[in-house]
Amino acid sequence: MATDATALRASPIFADLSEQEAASIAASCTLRRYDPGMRLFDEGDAGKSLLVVTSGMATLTRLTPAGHTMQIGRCRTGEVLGEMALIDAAPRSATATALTPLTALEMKRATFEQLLSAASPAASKILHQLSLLLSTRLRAVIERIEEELMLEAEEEAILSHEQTFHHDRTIRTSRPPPMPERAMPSTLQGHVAAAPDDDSRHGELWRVLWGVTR
Amino acid sequence: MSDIVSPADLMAFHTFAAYRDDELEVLASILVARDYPAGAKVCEQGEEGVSCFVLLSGALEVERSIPDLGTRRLGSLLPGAIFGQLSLIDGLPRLATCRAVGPCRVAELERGPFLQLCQEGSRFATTFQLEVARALTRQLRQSNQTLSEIEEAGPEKPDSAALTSWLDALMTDSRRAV
Repeated sequence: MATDATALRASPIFADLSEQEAASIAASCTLRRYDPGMRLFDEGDAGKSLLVVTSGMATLTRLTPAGHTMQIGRCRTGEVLGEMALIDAAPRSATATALTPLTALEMKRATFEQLLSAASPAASKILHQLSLLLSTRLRAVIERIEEELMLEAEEEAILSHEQTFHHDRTIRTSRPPPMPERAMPSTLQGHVAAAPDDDSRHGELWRVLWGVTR
Repeated sequence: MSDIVSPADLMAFHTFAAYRDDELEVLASILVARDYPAGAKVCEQGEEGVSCFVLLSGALEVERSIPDLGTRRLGSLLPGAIFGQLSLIDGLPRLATCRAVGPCRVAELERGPFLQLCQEGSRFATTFQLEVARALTRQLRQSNQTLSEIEEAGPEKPDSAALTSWLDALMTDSRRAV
């Protein structure tokens, strides 16, 4: 049976910690257990802690303006949820629900702030991995928006090209075939409604954007 | 001109207000200053990022080129600006090009010594990374807000004008990240 300290260090965000540092932080974390279907936190809750999934899998969902549940990501063993709560107190941007029996170690922002004010080397190591995670997200948001704008520019170019050949105004209403939708893993079927949008490329775009800005 | 940076050079800038004197001494000790003539590129979009920079004097203009979408000007950087942090943190290619508007002096913080300080748990590295993590968190939160607004305006398909203005805001806010 892995200790909490070992489980922490298996997560990239705590991977740089020494055994002693991990043991000391693990001692200040709370072990949480969830049954399938139980929520780890709800969209809109005050974000006061980071959760490291030490076993099991969770899904991240949010409610669309039309009232549909949109799946925006999943979290597996070793991954973290709610990491921005270490930095600020903004509300949770998604709901996390256990898909399987799940255990998680909860680290409160107050614990992290204590490490920072004590100038603990552990704080620097955690911050390094946290910054890496956030920078990956920021790059992903930028890339995904640019990709979408490039696709739209290409479609515009194709449409205007076709128009010059056919002089047919109706061509404007035709769109290129949508990109194939990524198959939803079987474990999630039945748990999460499909994207509300039948234009799968845009359904996928929303999911990806929410997945990275969360 | 010497390539040495003194802590006093940094203390003058409000961007270093969060740092203690001993932290600025550590930073100054690993910074290497260089002078650039007008028009010179301090860093170029797409090149491997192995450092970040502090603009000591002069001004830089920042731009990003995207196939099919053209070149976007992301504003300028003024003395005291810290830029290039994303590549310092993740070592991935630069997001934008920074070019000297007139003669300028820039100090470079290389990734090797920086990562060494991170591993040692240096106080300077902690403060620096906390500033970076705060900026990134703020940008992601802001993005989340913008995405909500775009979604409410057009839940079927994102409006491309809205996506463009989101991208501009994101890149302008991120221009120091490059």
